[in-house]
Amino acid sequence: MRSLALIAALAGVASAAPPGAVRVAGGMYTSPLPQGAMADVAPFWLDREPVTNAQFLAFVTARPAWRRDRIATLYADPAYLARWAAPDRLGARARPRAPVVEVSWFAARAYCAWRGGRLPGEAEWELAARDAPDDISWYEQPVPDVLPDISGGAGIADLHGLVWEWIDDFSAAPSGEKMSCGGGAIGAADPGAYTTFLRFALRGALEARSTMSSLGFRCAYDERSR
Amino acid sequence: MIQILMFLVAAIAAPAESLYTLPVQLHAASGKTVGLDVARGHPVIVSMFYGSCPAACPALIDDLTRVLAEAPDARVVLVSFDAARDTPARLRQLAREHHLDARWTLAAADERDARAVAAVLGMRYRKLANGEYWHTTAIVVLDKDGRPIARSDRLGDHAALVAALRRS
Repeated sequence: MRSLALIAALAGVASAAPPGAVRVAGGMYTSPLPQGAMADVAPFWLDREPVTNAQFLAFVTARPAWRRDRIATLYADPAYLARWAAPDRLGARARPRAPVVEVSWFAARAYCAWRGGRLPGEAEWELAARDAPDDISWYEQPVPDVLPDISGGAGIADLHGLVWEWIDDFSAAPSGEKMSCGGGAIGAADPGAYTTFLRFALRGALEARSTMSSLGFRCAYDERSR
Repeated sequence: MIQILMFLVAAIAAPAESLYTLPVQLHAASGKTVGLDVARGHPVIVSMFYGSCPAACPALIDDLTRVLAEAPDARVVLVSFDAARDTPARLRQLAREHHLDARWTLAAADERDARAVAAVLGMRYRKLANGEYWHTTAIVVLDKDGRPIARSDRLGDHAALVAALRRS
């Protein structure tokens, strides 16, 4: 198998798709913030769906240091995986096919590394989200106590309208009043940027150890990594 | 006065684990690759910066120089999030320009590890279109084992940082 991989690499063939991921074409991303930098995003792979409770359970089973009864307080707040019935059991409030929530940035990062990937960056996530249908009314609804299963279907699922998602460079989102509650969107020419500003506001309020009942994640993979 | 100082530098009351569990690789001015625990065994002041920073970072270095003058056993670890420009040679030049002695470790982290260091320090930074960085201030005092014992989010707190170091 190793020699086949070597031949493929020498031939310049991109490595096979990570299971459950779709390829996202690259492109220019311009952040909507003032003095927004442009980034030329290289093509990458992105999980079709957010990470599920069942997947995260497999992770903490394989890596017990990330169980909620063993994790360092440095890496997660006290609500980490709080809705699970036990450190090693999901229970009624955490459906196996629902997106995992109440996970910190550190835990999300560790999961993606375990899968041979990483968290997507802001530019990558926003690029992938640009073409996904968005419904502003979702942002006004309260979070259900038991999250529904992922909707499935073709393409990238549930980038909008299920859970907020961690990105690797969340700490690049400015904190402060200008960005709170979409205030930065006032005057923005494109009303579609409103939800982008909501995401910036959320990221600006998060810490790396924060967990939230509506915050999950999905993983990204480099084209030629693994 | 002490009350005011205590307000500016937040003591970390809850038991906290060592930051030295974080697996990051820093490219130091010395040319070596080190971890955050490069100065383990001493109280350490950790913060982040970038070498081309026009004002806030030189001010940070001035503050910490004053702190070290009064807390000679302390060490400083400054991590740059601009590894592309802050090469070991550039870091050595910065150290010379600011007359930094051997108690200072200047090092740069690659993008992923820089985000991890920022995460444990509570630091935020963003590259702007003109190549400058917007960033906050996050100065964390660690005890000899890397456990955080005090934190400041502003410059000019050097007296309070000295007080925190003396308690460590």
